[in-house]
Amino acid sequence: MSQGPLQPSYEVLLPDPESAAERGAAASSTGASEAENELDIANRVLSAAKQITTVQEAPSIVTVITADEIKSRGYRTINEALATIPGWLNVQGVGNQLSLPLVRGTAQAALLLRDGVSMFEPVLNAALFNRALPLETIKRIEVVTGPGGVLWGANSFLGIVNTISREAEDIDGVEGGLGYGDGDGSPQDGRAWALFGKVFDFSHDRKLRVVQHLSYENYLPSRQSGLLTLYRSPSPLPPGPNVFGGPASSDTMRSYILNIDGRFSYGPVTLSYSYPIAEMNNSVGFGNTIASGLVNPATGTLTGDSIRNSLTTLDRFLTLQYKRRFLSDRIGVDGKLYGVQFERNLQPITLPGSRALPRGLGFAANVQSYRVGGTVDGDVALPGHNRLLFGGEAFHEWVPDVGVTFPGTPTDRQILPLACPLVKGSTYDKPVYLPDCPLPFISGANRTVLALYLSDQFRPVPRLVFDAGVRYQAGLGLRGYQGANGGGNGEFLGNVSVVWNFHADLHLKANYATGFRPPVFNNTDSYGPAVQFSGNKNLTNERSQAFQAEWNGRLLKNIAAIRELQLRADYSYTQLDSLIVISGGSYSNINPTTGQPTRRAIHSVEAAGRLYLKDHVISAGYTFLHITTDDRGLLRSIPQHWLSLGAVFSLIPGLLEANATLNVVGSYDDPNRFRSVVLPDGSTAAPFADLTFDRLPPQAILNVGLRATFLQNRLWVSGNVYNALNQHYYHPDVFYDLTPTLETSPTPAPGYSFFLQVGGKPWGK
Amino acid sequence: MRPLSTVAVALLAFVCLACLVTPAAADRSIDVALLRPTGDGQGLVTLERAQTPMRWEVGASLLLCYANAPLQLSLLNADGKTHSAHNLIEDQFTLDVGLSLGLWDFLVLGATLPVAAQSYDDQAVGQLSIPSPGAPGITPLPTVSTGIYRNQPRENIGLSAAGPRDPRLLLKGRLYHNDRFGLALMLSATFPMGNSSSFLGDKDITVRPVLIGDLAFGRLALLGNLGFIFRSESDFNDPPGGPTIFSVGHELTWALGASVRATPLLGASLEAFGTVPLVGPQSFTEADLLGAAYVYPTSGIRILVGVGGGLAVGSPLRDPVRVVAGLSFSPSPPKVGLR
Repeated sequence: MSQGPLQPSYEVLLPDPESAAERGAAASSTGASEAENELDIANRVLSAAKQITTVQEAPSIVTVITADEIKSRGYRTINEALATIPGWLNVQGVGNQLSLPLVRGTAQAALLLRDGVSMFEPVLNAALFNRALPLETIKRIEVVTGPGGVLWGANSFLGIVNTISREAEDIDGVEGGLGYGDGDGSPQDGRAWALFGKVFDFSHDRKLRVVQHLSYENYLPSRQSGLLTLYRSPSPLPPGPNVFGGPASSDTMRSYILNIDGRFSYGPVTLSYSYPIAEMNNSVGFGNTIASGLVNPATGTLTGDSIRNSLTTLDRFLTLQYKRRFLSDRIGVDGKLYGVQFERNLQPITLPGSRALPRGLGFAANVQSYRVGGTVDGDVALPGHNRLLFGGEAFHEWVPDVGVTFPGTPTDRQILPLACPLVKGSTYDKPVYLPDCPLPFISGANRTVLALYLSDQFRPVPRLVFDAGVRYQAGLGLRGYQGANGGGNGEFLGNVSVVWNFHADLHLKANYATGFRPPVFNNTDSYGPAVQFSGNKNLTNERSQAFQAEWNGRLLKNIAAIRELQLRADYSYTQLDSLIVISGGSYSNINPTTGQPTRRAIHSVEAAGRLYLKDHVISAGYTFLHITTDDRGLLRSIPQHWLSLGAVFSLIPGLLEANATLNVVGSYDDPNRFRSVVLPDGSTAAPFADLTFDRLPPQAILNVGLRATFLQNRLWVSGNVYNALNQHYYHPDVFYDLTPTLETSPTPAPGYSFFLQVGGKPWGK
Repeated sequence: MRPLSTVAVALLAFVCLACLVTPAAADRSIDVALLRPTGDGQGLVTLERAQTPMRWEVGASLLLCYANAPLQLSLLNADGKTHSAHNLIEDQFTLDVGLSLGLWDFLVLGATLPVAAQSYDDQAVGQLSIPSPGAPGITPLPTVSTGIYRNQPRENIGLSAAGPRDPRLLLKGRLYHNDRFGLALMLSATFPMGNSSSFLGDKDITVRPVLIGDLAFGRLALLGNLGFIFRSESDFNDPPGGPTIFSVGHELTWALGASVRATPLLGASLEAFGTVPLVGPQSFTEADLLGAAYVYPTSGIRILVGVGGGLAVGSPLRDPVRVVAGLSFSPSPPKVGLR
């Protein structure tokens, strides 16, 4: 953006320029119209690249989703918003217990950051891409597609999702909303939220900024139906048959999520916290078992009592940030200290209620892990048109010993295929088992990480920008990095890019980037003899590298009714090495066939367009994906084509707008067991070795909505319908090694639902 | 228009060659939705007109269509000997979302993203996995599939009640026009992203060139389209592996219609359209009639409702009743004719 009014490449780590005051100042100082300025701001990248730049000029593939877009398109979860970005898919896994955005067809490959602080959960890599992350607190979501290891370190494997919170100036008063929805996709869903933001002006240059948010949601998980699972052989011992009874519908307990979070800033210091409480139930469990309710053993019929099938994901954190510029803005420093508690509370069922097991059978393991540490990022303007980014981080992450219990299992007889511990003095002749069969789940583990990076931006002429950076990151402690490319515990990362503004607002980019993902503690320290695959303490880091090229442009500015047309097209070749797979009942980086480290090669074409037409916005995205692995060849369990079409139409300017999102996903294969046998009692069985490749139907997920604003935006009403066609579609199997042996049906996705909401700003500007 | 013509001829030649070597197979990859809306919102409901928007003008359209019994077949009964007539698809709703952009005053680029929801005759569809016939005993029995799933590769997922159809890209170039007469050529292609397992899409890319002509006499306009569909052949067999009872391949397409703009606020049209099969052992001629009324609440906005039905008796795709409703936005309405 050499012609841009803000010259953003050299405004590194400045305070957020989107505040109303600065927006007005920028517009008036440059003479830019308000509409143009709005589009410029929407294209600004504030932090995903650790410098203020533009989407077009950033040295990586960046997408920005603004709060306005979240509101106007009716997104309810961050995963829904991400699914509109080329290269990204909204997917649920492990039944529908985890929301796992796929980036370039790879699960658990995106690093979730909240205001620049990593929320990577070190035990299961189960990030909060779900409804527990309140969207009304978010000002922007900045997304990098592709590895981002140099700037963000571990786990920025194939993508970065940085949520930027709304500041006190953005709120300036009290906002609130109250909503209710229903439908099979999200039944009986009530949600209320309130957001307070205020700047208290104490003196000329000292202001206290306060943001406080509170939200509460109470809902049932999506309704699903299928066959009643009478028996299945769960992992890690799947060779037995899966046996099914008659039709069954999910009947799980209600869920709730209470979010309490806030930010307090005084001068350059900001304190942020989040303390959520929740129980998050799901309708489909491990092996795609329908979580049907409790059963009356006498009659064999459902009692009407719901069953618990929960995987609760909560991130509780406290962060302290110091951000300031020195020497007439030539040097900027952004330091953060943080402590995060990750709670992943598993209480899933493995078998639902049936005549033989009226209360069903499940297990309970509350996995709590922690990370404390700090980061420092800085920038300095150097002679010769150079801008140097530098920084580092140090943190310690750990998980204490975690146990697993099987509530309700009898103490006088063994019904689990596990070695349950005996009561002291009991013998195998007359066994008395400890209540709930307590066993280890994950052994305590820890890791200390130290990292440094340098990245230089060199702009020899205004239209050409070179970026190059290196990072060294060492993992020490009980689960320090192994086999790292820097020797021993140290991992070297590098990136290089060139951006050429070859004509007007047209840019060409070429970029090489690297990343890595250390094994999570569940891969290294899980307890195999219970309900887990065996941990492997010798796992090495998974590595990613990508060659990426992009053409982008901002075209047709103010021509006829068109305000602007933004286009981009990317090609990337991404290579993933030493991917962790399940082999021989344990985790491994080694292809068991070749004896070599595993490898996945990904060709992807990602294209996006956004048309601003008067007050209307129309956007489109397309993704082509071609993945091959060294053991299975072409990966057909991930769609190869998908596209997203979205629109917001201003029906009555300033009063009523309509929105629509249509995501069309091509078909793909899903390996499953097949019910090939009918047993004498009428139940059907799917033997271990009787597999089939289901051809899953292509998806057309249509969301539509209306939003009306009144009283100069102080009151608004919205209604949205999700999956309006009520398509019964399925999620791709993201854990390909595992699912063919466990599942007899694909992972079902939510059906139709609606959500009506009324909100407003009763107090404030 | 020379570059367009060159590209079109080369593309058609390639597709013809590709289609010649494509073997027929028993499958359900037949898009039963006959009605395809116009590519740029300039024409009638399905009839294209030679008018093109101005350069950089954006058009958008939304067309909702209901068709009753759009796929009727005589299928083998459970006894394996007799046949019964079934409305295999009982009701179908389609939604076509269209966008267009004028590249020059004579050339428009358009895209259509269609989706559908439909219901089936469960008796005809059958089941994926039920016990095989035989006396109950103490030994396990194998499962079998019935209906249209018979002899198919075994699967856990049956027909879909909703899903995408094949998206379409098109280029329309106006070749000639004066105050009364216009002539244009449109080249469109569909891409196989639709649900070809559920009668919602073709198995491969199809290419559809159309020659468009229109005549205007004040408020009255006469329109005609003549084109081809180049596509791979799809044969639906019953029982699977048995004789072909319905097939779709290359087709000639035609459409004729007339419109009148009665007042600035209201208009009406009547159009007939159909296909003539060129290949396929059990292909059928199709013909549909559709009447529509139009309301123009503001400049550039058009709301339409229409009703019609199939004329070709004996065709599996003869839908007795069809109802359409649509909304389109096109900022440069023609000076004459309907718009």
